[in-house]
Amino acid sequence: MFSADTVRRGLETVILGRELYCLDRIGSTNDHVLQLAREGAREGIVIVADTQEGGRGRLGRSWVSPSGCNLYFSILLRPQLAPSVLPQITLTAAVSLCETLRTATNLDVRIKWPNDLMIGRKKICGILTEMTTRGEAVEAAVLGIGLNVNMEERLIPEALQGIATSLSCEAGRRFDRSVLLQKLLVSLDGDYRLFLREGFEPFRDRFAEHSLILGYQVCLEVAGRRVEGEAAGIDREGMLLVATEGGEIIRVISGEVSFSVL
Amino acid sequence: MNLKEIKELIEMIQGTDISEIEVEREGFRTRIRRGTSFSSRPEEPVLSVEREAPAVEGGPAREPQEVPADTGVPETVPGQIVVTSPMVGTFYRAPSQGAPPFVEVGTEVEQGQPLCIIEAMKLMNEIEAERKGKVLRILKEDKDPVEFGEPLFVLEALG
Repeated sequence: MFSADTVRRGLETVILGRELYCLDRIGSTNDHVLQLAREGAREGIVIVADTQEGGRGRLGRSWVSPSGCNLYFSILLRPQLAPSVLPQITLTAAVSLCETLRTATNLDVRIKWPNDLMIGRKKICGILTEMTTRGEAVEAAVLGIGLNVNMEERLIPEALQGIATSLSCEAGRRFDRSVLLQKLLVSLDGDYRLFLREGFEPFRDRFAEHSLILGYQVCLEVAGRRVEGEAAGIDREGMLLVATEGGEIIRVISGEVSFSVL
Repeated sequence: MNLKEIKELIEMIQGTDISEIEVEREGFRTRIRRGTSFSSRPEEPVLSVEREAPAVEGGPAREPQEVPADTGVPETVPGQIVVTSPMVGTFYRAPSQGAPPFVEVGTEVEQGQPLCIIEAMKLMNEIEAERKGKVLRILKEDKDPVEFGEPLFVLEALG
């Protein structure tokens, strides 16, 4: 397991990771940070785990978290913003992570709207943002990131073969997790501060540039209705615009996007 | 009008107070109406672009149809708290599929206790009770689309 000291040494950030803890094993880094938030932890605290026993995706789905190879970390944010703009933080983080990984690995990492990073059609990284609000006030927002770094193919469960991969599987070489985590935290820190100042607008074109699905035929379910069309753009609020054959433009805020089978 | 032009129009009206714009060109009329993001009727597109038949000169223009948002705002009664959604998204009654709902009618909740989740762009927002209360009504079904400010629960204030 890499140590917190290694990651903190020379970590040039303003908000994120000024407090950072590396744990050998934990239930879920998001649950842990949500608990720390309830206990009054300060914005920017980062919890990294070598393995998660109950790694989670959305709505209780699990995130495969073997030890010694990947990165699982969660960051506490306490932005003084309206809850309604917070979903854009997930997209902002996706842009930030994507660009840093592209530079660090030379791999064609792309964003599948709104919160997954992919290489080809395989998932490399998931972002789970969980927030608690009371009335109009954000109590805490936790940005959880699971990144498959050096996971060997044999460690990928059968059910995920063909739909999940790791940086090392794709690049044919291993990556130093501490170095990678430092780079990711530095870029997330800068981009989070930019988001606080200017909102999603500076990230919109960057999101589109690295998008996996824009320009392709996609299908998804929107409020119980199946929609098919071209992923035509990302609007100012980060919503996906889908242009149907009937000439409708549908703004999508929720839904699982998949490629149409042609 | 091609898709690109329609997209440009949509971008143009975003961030303005314009709620509807109608452009007529080459005998085609395109009307873009800024809806509330998810209408309460699921079949209603979020942002509808209507392509109408070539306009007949002098013909009666179709009146724009209002899409009234059925907010179903319960009347405010002293001693009752209406919990509204702080954002547009999808309403979930339970933390995960198959798990029991956070609350049922009759559940007594403490301040800070989770009532539901609103999901938008994969951000999961747990809505907490602002104060102690008893759940009187649950106004949305699981996985319903909800609007900003839309009432979700009616609680009886306790304590």
